[in-house]
Amino acid sequence: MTALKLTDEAAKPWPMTFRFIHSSDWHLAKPFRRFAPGLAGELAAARLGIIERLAKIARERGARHILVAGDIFDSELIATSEIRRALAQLAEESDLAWLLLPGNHDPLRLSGVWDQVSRLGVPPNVTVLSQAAPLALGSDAVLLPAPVTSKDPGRDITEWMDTAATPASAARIGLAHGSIRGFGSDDDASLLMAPDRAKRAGLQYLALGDWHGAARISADTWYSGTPEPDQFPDNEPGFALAVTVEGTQLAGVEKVPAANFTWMRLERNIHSLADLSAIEPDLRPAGGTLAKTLVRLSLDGHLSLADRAALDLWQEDWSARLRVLEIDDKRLTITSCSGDFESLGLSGPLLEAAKHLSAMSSDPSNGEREAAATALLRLAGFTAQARSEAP
Amino acid sequence: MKILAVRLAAFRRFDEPAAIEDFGDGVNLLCGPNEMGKSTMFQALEAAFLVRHKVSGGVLDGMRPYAGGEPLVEVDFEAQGGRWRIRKQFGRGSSAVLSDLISGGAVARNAEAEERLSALTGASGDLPGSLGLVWVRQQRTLSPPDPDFDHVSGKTKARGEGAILRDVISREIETAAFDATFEGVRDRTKRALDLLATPSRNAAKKDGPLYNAVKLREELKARLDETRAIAQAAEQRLNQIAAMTARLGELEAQAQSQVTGEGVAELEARRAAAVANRTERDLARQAMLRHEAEHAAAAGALAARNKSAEELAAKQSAFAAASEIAQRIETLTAEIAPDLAAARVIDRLGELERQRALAEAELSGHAAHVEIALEEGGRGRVEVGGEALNESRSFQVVEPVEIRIAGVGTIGISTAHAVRGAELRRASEAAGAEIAQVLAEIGASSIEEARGRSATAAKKQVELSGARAKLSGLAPRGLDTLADDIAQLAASIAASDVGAVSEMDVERLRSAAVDARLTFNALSARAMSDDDFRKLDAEIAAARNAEASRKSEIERLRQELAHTKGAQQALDEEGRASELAAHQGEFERADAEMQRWRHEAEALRLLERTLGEIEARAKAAYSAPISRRVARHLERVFGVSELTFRDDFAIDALRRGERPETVSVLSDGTREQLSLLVRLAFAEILAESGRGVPLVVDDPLAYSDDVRLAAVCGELAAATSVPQIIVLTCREKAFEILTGRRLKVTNWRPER
Repeated sequence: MTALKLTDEAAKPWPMTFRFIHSSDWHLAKPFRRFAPGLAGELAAARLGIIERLAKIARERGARHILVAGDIFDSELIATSEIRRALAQLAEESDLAWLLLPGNHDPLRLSGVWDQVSRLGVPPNVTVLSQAAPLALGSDAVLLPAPVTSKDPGRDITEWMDTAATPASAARIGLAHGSIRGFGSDDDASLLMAPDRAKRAGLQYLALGDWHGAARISADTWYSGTPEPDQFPDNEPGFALAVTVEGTQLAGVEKVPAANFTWMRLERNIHSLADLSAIEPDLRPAGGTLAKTLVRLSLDGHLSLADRAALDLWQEDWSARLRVLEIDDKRLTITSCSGDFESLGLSGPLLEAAKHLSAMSSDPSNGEREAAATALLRLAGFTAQARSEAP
Repeated sequence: MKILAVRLAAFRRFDEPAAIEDFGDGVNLLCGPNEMGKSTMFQALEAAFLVRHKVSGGVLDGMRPYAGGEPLVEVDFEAQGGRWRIRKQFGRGSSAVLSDLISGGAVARNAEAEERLSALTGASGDLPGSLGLVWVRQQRTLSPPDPDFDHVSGKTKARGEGAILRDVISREIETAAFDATFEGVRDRTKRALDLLATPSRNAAKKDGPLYNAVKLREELKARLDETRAIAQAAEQRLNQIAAMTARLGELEAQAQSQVTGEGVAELEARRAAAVANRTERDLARQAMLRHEAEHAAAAGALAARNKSAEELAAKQSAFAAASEIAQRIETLTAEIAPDLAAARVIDRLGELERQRALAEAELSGHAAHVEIALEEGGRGRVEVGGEALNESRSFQVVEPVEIRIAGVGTIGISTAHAVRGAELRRASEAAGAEIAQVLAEIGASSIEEARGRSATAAKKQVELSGARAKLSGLAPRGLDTLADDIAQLAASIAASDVGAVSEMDVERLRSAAVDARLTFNALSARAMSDDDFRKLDAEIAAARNAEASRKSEIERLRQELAHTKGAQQALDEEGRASELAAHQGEFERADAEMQRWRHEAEALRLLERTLGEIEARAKAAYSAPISRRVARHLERVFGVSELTFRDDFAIDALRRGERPETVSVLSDGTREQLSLLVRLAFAEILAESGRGVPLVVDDPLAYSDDVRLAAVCGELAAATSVPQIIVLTCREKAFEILTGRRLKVTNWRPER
């Protein structure tokens, strides 16, 4: 069916349809050792799995080219075994052309990571875009890559595209890595690019990398974002872009989910257990499963001592359901309420201690504020235990 | 609680059963000599209430009498509104029976009996509790009470004493209850913190989670730093490779295309040109010198010839002059020759003339003067000496003369000196003759002529000398020589005239020399100065060096680059730098873990501190009622004074007047009195709380003087709130002042 359609289109003399996948920021071999070893291994494996997943997406959409806009590797200093693994994985997807652009994490430098790659042998279906020179993608499109050759090139590396000569009938597709205005990593101010490069250089599409969320800068200029999130995001990672060009017209950009793990960052203001329950639906990712979801939950507001103790139980519960649940409760305070204390069975000197600690914990100028909050929790916990064991 | 009776059998000193049956309220005094068994009574009381009936070992042996047997103790007592009997059989067949004396039946046996007993006495479990506070053994009376302190082990040991005090005092003061829950919380806090921190709480407990987390973090930090250093070195190496590659390319490009003005070849070409230029200049100098020499030679030759011609001319004119002079000399010489004779004789003539004159003069002296004046017609007619006079005449007559006057006669005249005169006449005539002869010789007619001719000769002689000098100047070697010279000179001039330079030749040569000099000057101006030459040489040397160093740098860079690339490749293979992110992550994880534990430890420390502070504050409040009660006794015994307590109810210090005194520095007597009074206060507090127990003291106040003893006894007697005070003493007399019941030991026949 699909083949027939393709044949139909191929039969048309004009315009030709060119499809490709735009991806970036794979950050292969990122170690994630901040997490427990098991999870770190899974997360690293998920990064390598990007290749297989993108290949599947490409085939499903009839794309033959996968353009990767930089930061394929997490670092220039990367173990050879990791590179071998990545190259082997790319070679596996031998029916697809992988066009890899050096980014700021893996710049094209002497003896850098790409030298290692070429030393190990570039698979025939892989092209390392080491030249800022036009490269024909079949007969219908020409790729204008802007490889990053240094962590601080001190110039707009896409500028050459303006004057690059290409056949009139071929679509011009730019590929670059860096920052446009507010997009791109903060430390890459040196990789600033003109926001209207696509217009200036007559590009049908400018495929960008560096910003980890998928983002449309303009109709013809996009950040694909990383296909596999690598941190708790404040943007929208986890996509690949399937781009269609008809002749020399951009026909469409499709955001295709590509992530294995879902990373979520939530910030909530809570004042009761009910507020906590209200968070629960948000913890369920739309497309993913709880077991592959990592959540960082920043809590603000205040809880009663009893509710705060219940929060620990809630965290235990949800930590078991989610792959990771990190709760940042530094801004969560415990309300000092005698009734609250009494309901926990605090009386006499224990009540006095609780009031003292509570006062400390709610005094912003007290250096032991955080210790006091925890001490109060422990006091409540120990009291409950002692009472339950008392005759 | 009150003791009603104590009975014992086979107990230490008492082989035989004995009893004290007459205990009453208030002060009970058992007096008796040493070894009477007072302390045994005390121990029997302790055994009944505090020793488990199943006790064995040293404690049991300690109770057994020397004679052997199984100790039996029976105590009747009043407690909690009832009257009870505890009977404990120790050793073989041990048992404990608690009986209700009112209903008359056993209410509990053995372990249960002991538990009930504890409950009745207000103790908890088998801890001595309140009894320990107020039952003072013989050897302890000196020591101040130190609740929950085990004197045997020297350590604090929970004996329920402090707890009892706190419990009873808490009824009196407004403070929270340190109940089991509090103890449980404190204990849990302590246990939780013990896992993390050392007992001093100043450091992490070895091998505890915090300690391990800190250690792990440190290890990972060290590893991270190491990896970071490696990664930085790798990064640096990458930069080095780039820099070296760029530099190498630069150098190789330089080596390939000599940049103008920098290469050795160019400099050497410049040097060669300069050398050629200098050579040309040197040749020009030689040409110039040659031309100038030629010119000088020609000019010289011309001048010399001109000079010879002038010389010839001069000589010729000299010759002419000389010849003339020679002629003149000849003439003069000839002219002068005759006159020369006159000159030669002139002096002789003069002499002769003088001689004649002298003779004449002398003659005339002798002469007579004769004057003949002639008259006109006389002329010729007078003759003198034969000679006619033609004119008048005067003359001298020295010799006879005759004057004849023709016609008249002759007159002779003579003088007296005619002989001399004749001599003189002859002399004069000889001189005249010689003069005449000389004159004849020279052909002169007169002396005057001779004289004239002599003067002419002298004049011509001078002229001749001048001419001769002139001639000698003109032709010093003679005219002939001069003539020869002239001839030679003329000949040589004639000879040199063959091929001689002309004025034109000299002019041509001069012009050539000037041209040569101009050429030389021009070349000199173009030629490089020595300084510049040296500079150029230095430049060449520098350029050579630069080239050589470039070569060596290229070589070195190539090697270094190969080496660095190799090192980088090796590092890549090793992958150590690639572990940076991993190590960073692991470090962060360990750091977070350590922070978590540190936070936990801080929180627990804070909790422990908070609980401790609250407890300490409460404890401080607790000691106040004791201080207050003790103060009343102290005031009466010691005067105004204050006793302070630590929060474990141990005595802190006694303040009498200004300075506080610690107990250890007090005298034995004072210490003993204080101890007893504090125990009395304890007993009062217990009693006032409704949990009164007897104050039992074995052999107290042994070191007290009579006054203090009396005062303390007064306090005991006045302590009516205490249900019972039992004093065991061997000093009957001393305690006579103590009012109260006197106990008696009686025989006992225990029921079997």
